[in-house]
Amino acid sequence: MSDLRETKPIKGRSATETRRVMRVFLRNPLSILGMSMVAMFFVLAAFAPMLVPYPEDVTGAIHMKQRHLPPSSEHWFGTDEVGRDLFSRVIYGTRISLEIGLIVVAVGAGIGVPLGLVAGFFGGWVEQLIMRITDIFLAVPGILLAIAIVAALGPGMTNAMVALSIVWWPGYVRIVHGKVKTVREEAYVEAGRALGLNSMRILFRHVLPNCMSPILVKASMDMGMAILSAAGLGFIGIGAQPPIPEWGAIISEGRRYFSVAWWHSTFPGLAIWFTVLGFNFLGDALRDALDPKMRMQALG
Amino acid sequence: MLAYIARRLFFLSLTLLGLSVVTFFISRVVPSDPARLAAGPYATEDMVQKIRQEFGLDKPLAVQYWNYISGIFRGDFGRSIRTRRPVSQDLGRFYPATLELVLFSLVVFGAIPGVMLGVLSAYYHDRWVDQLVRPISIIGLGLPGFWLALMLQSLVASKLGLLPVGGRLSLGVSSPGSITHFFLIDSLFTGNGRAFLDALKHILLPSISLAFPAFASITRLTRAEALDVLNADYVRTAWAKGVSGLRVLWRHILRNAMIPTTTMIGLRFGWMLGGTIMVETVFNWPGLGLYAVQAATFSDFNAIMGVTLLIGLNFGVANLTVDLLYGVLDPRIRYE
Repeated sequence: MSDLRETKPIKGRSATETRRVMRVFLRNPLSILGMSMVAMFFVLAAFAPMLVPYPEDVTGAIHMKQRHLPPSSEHWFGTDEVGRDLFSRVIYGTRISLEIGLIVVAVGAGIGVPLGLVAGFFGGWVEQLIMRITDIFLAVPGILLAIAIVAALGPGMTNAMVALSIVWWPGYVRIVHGKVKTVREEAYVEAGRALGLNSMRILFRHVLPNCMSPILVKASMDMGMAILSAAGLGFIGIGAQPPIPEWGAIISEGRRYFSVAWWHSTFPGLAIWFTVLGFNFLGDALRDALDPKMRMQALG
Repeated sequence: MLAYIARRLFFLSLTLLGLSVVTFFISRVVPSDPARLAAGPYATEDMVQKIRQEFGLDKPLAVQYWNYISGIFRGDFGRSIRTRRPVSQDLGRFYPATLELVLFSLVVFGAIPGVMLGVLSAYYHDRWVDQLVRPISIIGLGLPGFWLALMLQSLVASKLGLLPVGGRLSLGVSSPGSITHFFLIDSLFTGNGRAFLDALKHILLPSISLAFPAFASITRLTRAEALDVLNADYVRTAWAKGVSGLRVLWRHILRNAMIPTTTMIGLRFGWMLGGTIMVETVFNWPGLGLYAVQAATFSDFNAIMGVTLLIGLNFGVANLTVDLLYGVLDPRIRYE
């Protein structure tokens, strides 16, 4: 019996299934595009300090003689109202945005996934309690609740991340809860119970691996959405504060000068757009490969 | 059916009650001091204390919550620390502007073109219409609404001067009456053509900015659903019977593809209530979003809570409406 208890966890996919997923994933041109875009953002973020031509402009340098220079070979994206190189600031902004995205999604999934697992697996009053609290958080658009939280905590990048993390977890609870409800009826979970494995072990070694597809797809889509939301908070002035080169904050700074310097708000906006698009492509392709039935949810 | 609606409304009210607890907790258990903020930087401690008493901020938390929630049942959302008016009065003023913007945007620039292009794109699969529509719907997905708003405002309004830069009506054009508080509808009712045209010009850019992501996802979903339906037996049967192309498109393809699309439109209505916050800020649109942002920068919590609860109510009602519409479109669905 003890030997049986040490058997390897039943993985969500067999080797053949993994090969099928890889084949579907790699055959889709959007997945290659999405993966390349996302890989490029990570490379830019990782090496940003080495890649930017004017590192001092990333923080608070002022060169009033160079203010609002249009894009040129020296300043690819032009300069801002105090003469800082916008290319340097936008490239460095990749690092900030990816950091925000990763933290928000990791915290959101870190809270939401275990809660969804517990609610779906144990049922009863625990499920009722968790799901009703989740409903409350899903009852308004996340960005509105995030604004309310930032209003309470005070403006700033850290507080914006805290606020977004607080509104991000309920989505994971709902998606994992739904999936666990179907997975827990599977024969291998029954078998685990029959073998006398404890609930936590069944939950994390057998149920969780089988819920990974929707979690991965959601996480990829959410990276883009979290970056977009953080930029929104920066734009309305309660997220990252100047001179931090966060994309939303740069767009907000450039707003006043559009008639004389169109490039100021245009390039950071394009950066947000491409980033969100990249993560969307990746999430879309992952969904098509892992779980085609999820199309309806993910198209939202 | 009635029992189903009653049950859903009961759960919605419980959820809103929960939401009031959450927002109240967030707003009261915080490091910032709204009374000090309202009093201004040069206020003495006495003045701050007076504001605290005036707004009941000196009472125990449970008493504050009880006063707040019992007030709501009388239609009293407390007073705004920023505008100094009752929040219910502010909400009544700004809510119609937001609702008009979101509904106009969703219907005119989101749902109608989204569904039409989605069906056409599927109907003419892999032809030029499809090849034109697909990239538009894909690139629209990641487009930041507030940035699109800014670009449209700067180019179309400021640079080219084709449409107004912001607001709901031009200076000198008086409000077209207060029947529905929707300027487009009220100006039509009162036969005020000048106000109608002016309101229409003002609403165009904000609604295009707000609708684009919704348009993109509605197009994509409708296209995907219509493609599925196109291969269904009943569509082939209809073709074989010699039913005309338009009739097949309307009666068989569109009607069946609309079932999931309706859910998407309902979901999008909720999302647009969030997206409108940014768009209203760009276009200075006097709605709930702009009100919420101004309240947030002023730590005006009664106002923020009022907006949150009102939007929560809209969100819940929209979800319920979608579920009910589902039954109308698909008679196989029964409510228990």
